[in-house]
Amino acid sequence: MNNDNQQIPVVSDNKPNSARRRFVGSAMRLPLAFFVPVGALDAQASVTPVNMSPEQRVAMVQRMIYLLFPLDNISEGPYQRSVAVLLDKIEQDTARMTLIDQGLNMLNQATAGDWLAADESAQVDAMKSIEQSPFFQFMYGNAQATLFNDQEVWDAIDYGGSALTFGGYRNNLVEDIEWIEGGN
Amino acid sequence: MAAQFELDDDSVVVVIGSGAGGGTISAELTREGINVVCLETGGDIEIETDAAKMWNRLTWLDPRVGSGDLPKNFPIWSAKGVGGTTLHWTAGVPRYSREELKPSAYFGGLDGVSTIDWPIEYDELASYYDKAEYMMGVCGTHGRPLLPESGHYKVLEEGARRAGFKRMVNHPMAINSVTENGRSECLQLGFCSTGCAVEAKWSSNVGPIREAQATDHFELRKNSHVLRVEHDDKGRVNRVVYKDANGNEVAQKARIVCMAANAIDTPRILLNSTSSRFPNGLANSSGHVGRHFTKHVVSIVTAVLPGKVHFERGTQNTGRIFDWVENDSARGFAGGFSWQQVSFDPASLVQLSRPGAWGRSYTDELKQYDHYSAMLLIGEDPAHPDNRVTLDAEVKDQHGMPAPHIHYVYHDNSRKMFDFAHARARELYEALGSERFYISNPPPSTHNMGTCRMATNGDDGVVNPYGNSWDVPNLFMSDGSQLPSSGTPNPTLTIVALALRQARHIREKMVRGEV
Repeated sequence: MNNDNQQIPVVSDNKPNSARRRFVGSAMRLPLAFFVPVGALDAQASVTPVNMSPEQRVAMVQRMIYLLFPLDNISEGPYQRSVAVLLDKIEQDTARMTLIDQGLNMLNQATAGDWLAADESAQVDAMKSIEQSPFFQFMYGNAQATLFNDQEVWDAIDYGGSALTFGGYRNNLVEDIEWIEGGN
Repeated sequence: MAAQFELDDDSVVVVIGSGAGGGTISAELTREGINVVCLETGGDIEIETDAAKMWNRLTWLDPRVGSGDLPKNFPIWSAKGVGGTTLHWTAGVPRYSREELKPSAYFGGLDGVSTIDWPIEYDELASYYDKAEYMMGVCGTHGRPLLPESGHYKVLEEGARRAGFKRMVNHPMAINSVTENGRSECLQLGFCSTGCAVEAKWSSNVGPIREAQATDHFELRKNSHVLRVEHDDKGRVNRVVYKDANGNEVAQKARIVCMAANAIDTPRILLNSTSSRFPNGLANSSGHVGRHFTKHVVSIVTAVLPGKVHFERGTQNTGRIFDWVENDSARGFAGGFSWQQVSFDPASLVQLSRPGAWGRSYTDELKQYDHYSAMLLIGEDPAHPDNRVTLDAEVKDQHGMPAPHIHYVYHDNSRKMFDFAHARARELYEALGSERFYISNPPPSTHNMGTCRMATNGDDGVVNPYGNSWDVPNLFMSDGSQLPSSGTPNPTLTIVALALRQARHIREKMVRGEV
């Protein structure tokens, strides 16, 4: 059994608030560090660099997070905040920036050079083709820890968040379980 | 009334760690007027009922290395802070049974195992169990009511009934069902493993550490990371060397040393304490220090049910199914297990339920968060000498101390137990109409035991039946490291009971002038 890639519960940087401040109500500000010169890519990488604008990079990251966990009954807010947390993580981390650029290039290469323009089925196939890559695993872990710690997602899936704020569940500890009655 | 002792005061008992064992031994000794310095590697932890925040705040994130069947980078889930892993525990307090104290009867025939029987009889432990339950405020004991049953409990109870299981119970827990000892009754906040913001859950920091601090005999030194324990030319421990809160290496003299740093760091410190007398580590003439690591056979199952459950509501582990807790060779494996009710916040659930899953199908399931149920398997784990804690040859922590390397491989017996137990869980969920049942990867270990085990003689173990080193007369193991076998119970109640018993023994040895 190989558990080296085992996820552990709730590893979060807990930065959605700072990320939110950076994004809500204004145009998305891209950290300068997210511009990774083509020449900075790992010389050993097997992918061919593809020129991308910063906006395109962010759009790809957000689309990928959405396709990892597509919740269609929420706004774009949680996805934008997930992107913001990711950008915070990589802002001072050249290796991770390179990792992401390489990963985005792999997605483009798998979809005739323009992953964003591909249909959803092709986009998902491209993601499946790189599931074992460090890039995908990094994106996956970030999406899990950010999206599902977002208040808007909690509201959408009927999770009440910190129960201390409303005094706990003593008064509605048993609710909505009538469906178990009458079974054999 | 905080006391302050000099570093060269050689009359103090030094307790390393402030969790279940360290806190209890500190309270018991200081109550008798014995001076104690408790060295805790963490600081005070502010508890909020917010799983995302509390994970990083509570979790021991210093480097540890896993191998075998353990995750390489996060083999152990323990807490770091005043209160130790009792900050994080979910307060389940079963007792070891008489049968579980004699596991060689059923584990003895397995290939490669090193299981030994406990050198203590149940009847001797029973009075200390009683005292521990009283002291910890265990609901359902000493006239206290049990906690109420949640919707999740009732759903599981119904599933157990339909599947033909007979022993689903609301079991005693170290959580206040009534306000007591200055701690609130349980408000059913959920997610006890993230700490209890109202102190309804017993934790060492709100129980015995607080009691010790109310005396004039206790000094708690936070952010004090022990590196090694030294001894005099007679082989008696006399100094504990640690990095203080400012990063300076200092040494506290000691009359007695009690190791209570968890079954991972207790052997780590001993193995890091070499000398000409103990070239393989302090108190390790037997070679058993670090060996026989057990952690329970642990697994998590999740299921999406046909109706709402709201499994996040209420105490995390109230219900437990005990149908298979006794050994029965007819099952095809040795040892027993129980299934325990458990719940997860959304971010934990998405990571645990189906590792590696993503996309529309999985997300559609996650949208039904209020339909999820989950259970935790806790099974009896045979000891093996190669499942062990050593010092990693390469990785060091931020203090320059070698990181613990924890190697663990599941015995074939445990794999058979997994299969049998998972089949029973599947029956329960299918009886409830669920078609979506998932077995998670085994989670990191939290029930760490056996690495300085007690035995009837110094050839078979590290300490005697009182947790006293066979090699060093004034050195004691006061944590889960002394437990010689895992049994099926969560270990904390037994750690506390043994610490109560050990404290009495230490007092008697002091009176006799032996230490």
